[in-house]
Amino acid sequence: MGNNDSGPIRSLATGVPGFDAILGGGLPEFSFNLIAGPPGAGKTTLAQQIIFANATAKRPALYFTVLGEPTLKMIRYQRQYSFFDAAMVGSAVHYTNLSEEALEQNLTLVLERMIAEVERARPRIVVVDSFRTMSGSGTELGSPGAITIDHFVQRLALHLTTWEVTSFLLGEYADQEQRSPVFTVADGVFWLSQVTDRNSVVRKLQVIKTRGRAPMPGLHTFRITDDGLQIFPRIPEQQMQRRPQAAHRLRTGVPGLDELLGGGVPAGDAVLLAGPAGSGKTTFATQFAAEGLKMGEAVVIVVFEEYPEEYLERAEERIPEVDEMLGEGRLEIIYLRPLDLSVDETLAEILQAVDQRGATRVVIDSLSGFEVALAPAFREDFRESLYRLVGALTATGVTVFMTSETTGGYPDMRFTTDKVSFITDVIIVQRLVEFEGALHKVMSVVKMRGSDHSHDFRLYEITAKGAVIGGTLRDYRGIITGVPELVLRPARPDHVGLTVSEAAVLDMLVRLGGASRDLLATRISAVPNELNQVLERLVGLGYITLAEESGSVYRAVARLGG
Amino acid sequence: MTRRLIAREAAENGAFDDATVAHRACERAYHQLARWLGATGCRTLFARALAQTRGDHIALVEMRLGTSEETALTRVREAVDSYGAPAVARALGALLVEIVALLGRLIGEDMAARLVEEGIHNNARTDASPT
Repeated sequence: MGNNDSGPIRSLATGVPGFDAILGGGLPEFSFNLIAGPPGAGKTTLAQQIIFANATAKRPALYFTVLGEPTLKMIRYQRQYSFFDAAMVGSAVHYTNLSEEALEQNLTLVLERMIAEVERARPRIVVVDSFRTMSGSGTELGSPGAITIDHFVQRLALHLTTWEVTSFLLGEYADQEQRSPVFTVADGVFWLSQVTDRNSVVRKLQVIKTRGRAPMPGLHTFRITDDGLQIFPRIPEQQMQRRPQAAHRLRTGVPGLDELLGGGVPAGDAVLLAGPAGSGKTTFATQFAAEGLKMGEAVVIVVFEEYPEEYLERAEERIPEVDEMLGEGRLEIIYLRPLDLSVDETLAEILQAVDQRGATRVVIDSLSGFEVALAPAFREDFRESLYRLVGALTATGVTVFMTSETTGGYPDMRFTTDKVSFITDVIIVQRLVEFEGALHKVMSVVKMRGSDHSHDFRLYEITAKGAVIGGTLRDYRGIITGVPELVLRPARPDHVGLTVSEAAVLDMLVRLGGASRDLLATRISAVPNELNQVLERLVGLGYITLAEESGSVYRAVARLGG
Repeated sequence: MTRRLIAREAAENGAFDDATVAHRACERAYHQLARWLGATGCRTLFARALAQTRGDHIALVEMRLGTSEETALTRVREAVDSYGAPAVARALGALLVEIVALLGRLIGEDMAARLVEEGIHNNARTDASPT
């Protein structure tokens, strides 16, 4: 199992997902390690996972249980984990109970027994669980040849290393006890902790030291599942340098949007689409994903607010090919909603999917859901968390499309995920505005880093086929207030002889391309009879025509200017 | 598996009666399990099994758990005198079956078999000794 050889010290793969990366390539072979932390932190499970990944019949693992959890109970619970291979017990993994020796507080006896077992079994790995129960018994007194706990640890460490054993002492320690001699003797110290905040529990691992290795600094979150520990290495900022991108743009799949973005989204950029509830954010995001799939790319969609089945069902309504694309393995939907997530865990899931699928587009729908899914402790640092998440994703070269819900009244609309704009390259904002007696959807491109873009407010609609960008709102003012006013300009020279109302209807038809009487009525808030008269007059004057195309549709007649 | 344990003892101690052979099998299982579970854990297991089996085997009523780390059961000789070797042999066989079953319920039959049978193939740290 040794790998990542460097000089005379070989590395031992731990078998714990994420742990080797944190350790800088694995555990130094024959090292004497301490796994410390409070009760329930996962010390025993971590040690068990390591021994089952490494023990063989030829070089077995010896697991000494002392005064902590009774062996019977430990086996009963540990065998629930998928890594626990009952077939290895008795051949590759041996459990030995030292409770009688420890109860006598005779460290010499304990040491002799351990040494005898090591010499008999010639193990590759030795675990002492829980070491703390022995050290807690204090100094051995009275008996001839008595040794102190410090001597015991030194002798044990020397003996195990001489016998070419990689060893782990498990112990319950408080933070202030890190000056204990055991910490000095140990080659590696791994500190497990858990923080309870409201209803969430966040587990963290810190590599306090590893001789001969450069471990990843910081606190790394981990989760204990049916498969044991999974550690999510904290991505340091120096690993988030953005990969240089080819200067090409990705089509968004939303008709009309690419023009506003100067030809599409620059590859490798982070896009934020912010809008209120019901503004169609998910529709935009789905179209962005679908467009990638249509172009032959692989896509990862991360959802937090609804189950993947529901998400897919809604997506299929507009993009029937989604199911087929899923079958081709080019689409992965990740659902994360445990309410105690860490950013690193989320990132690990996404990066794994991106790597497996070779994805070029990642959709995160939505940041608001992501924030809620995080453990409370991480929500406090949401801005920093997002920075690391987006930085790490764009560093891989993928283009990230995120949605975010906006709150608050007009015009002080805010992103719920406060101050996220700095992490994004492109920001598109959606609004619901009221005019002509109805709510309309309006969007604009607010920011495009290093690129020109449209500054127009544009109407858009969510149709059965998805979002479609419509006309401008140049005849309105005060759009950002949410209640814009129509600016009734005098009839233009090419509208000679028209009233203000007739000119407004004509302008609306020019902008929409075509519209039914009902649609016009809602758009310009006209009284039906008055609108009928206006329409009849415009038809009579030859400004507009009435066509029968799946209902009566009025269209403006193209006229030469002047 | 219990039969294999007793057969092994019979093969090694053919000169003894069935009760002694069964008793040696119990002692060997005790020492084997004590290595894994500790003497306290092992005694607890034997105590429960004894309590479970006594109702069906009167020969077990007078037997007691050993007070030392080295001995699993005491007063076996007295039981033989009172109820005869065949009855004691049957009772101790039932006790072994109950121990393995109890262990199986706690950690799974495969693991229980593994822990006990390791004593058949490997030399136990301390050989069983008859009372």
